[in-house]
Amino acid sequence: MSHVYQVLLALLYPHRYVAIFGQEMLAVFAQVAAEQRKRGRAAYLLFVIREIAGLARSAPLQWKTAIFDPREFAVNQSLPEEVQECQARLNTANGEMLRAIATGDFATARRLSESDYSQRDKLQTLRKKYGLAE
Amino acid sequence: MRQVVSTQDELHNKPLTEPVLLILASLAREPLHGYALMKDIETLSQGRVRISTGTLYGALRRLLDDGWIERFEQEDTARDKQAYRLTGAGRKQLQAEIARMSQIVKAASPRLRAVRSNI
Repeated sequence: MSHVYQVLLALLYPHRYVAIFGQEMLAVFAQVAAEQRKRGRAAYLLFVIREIAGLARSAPLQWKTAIFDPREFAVNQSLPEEVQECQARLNTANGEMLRAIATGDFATARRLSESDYSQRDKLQTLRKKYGLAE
Repeated sequence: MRQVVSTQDELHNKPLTEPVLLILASLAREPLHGYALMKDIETLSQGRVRISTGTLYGALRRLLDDGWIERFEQEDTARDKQAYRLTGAGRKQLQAEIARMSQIVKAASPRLRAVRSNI
């Protein structure tokens, strides 16, 4: 079921949102799923329905934010060049990760996710260097 | 024309939604990661509110954008590295919301008691 959830997440939500929260959401889903499975079929089925409904309800709001919130634009041109480059690399890696998830290539997605962490650390360091807000 | 007077101009002036209120209340005690937050919300609401993962993270994202909570990496756990904690602004919002609710409870409770005693 985690794979179905992962695919739904990749299909329904904006790329940036999945890049930031996807791994965490999947981990939480897996933990709760394991717990509900122990409670029996009915509890598990209710849980799955609730989760799918939750995804469907939340996705339009995330798209609305992605489209209308200026903070969502991929790379802010007013940022220092070093920061822009790092952000662009991160965006490209996220796109690749999503494509890997959508095609079921989870080994590649995991590898890209690990490199995503190091890129994020680098971006955070650069933001601190230039005194930029998170 | 009806006029709404706000005494909390610097604060978010709409009542908080239940998931948001429960998330803030949950984080008021200590920082938590996603799963622990979900479980604590269930405990806080005495099992009445079972929030889905999508709803939880949708609300967390809005709270992060508003600067009411912040995300950080927990160093002492192998799983769930990302945890969330309340910011000063978030604590103020929670205090304002609790004060608002307390005021309503305080005003409404005597009326309810009066109605009961008339029945």
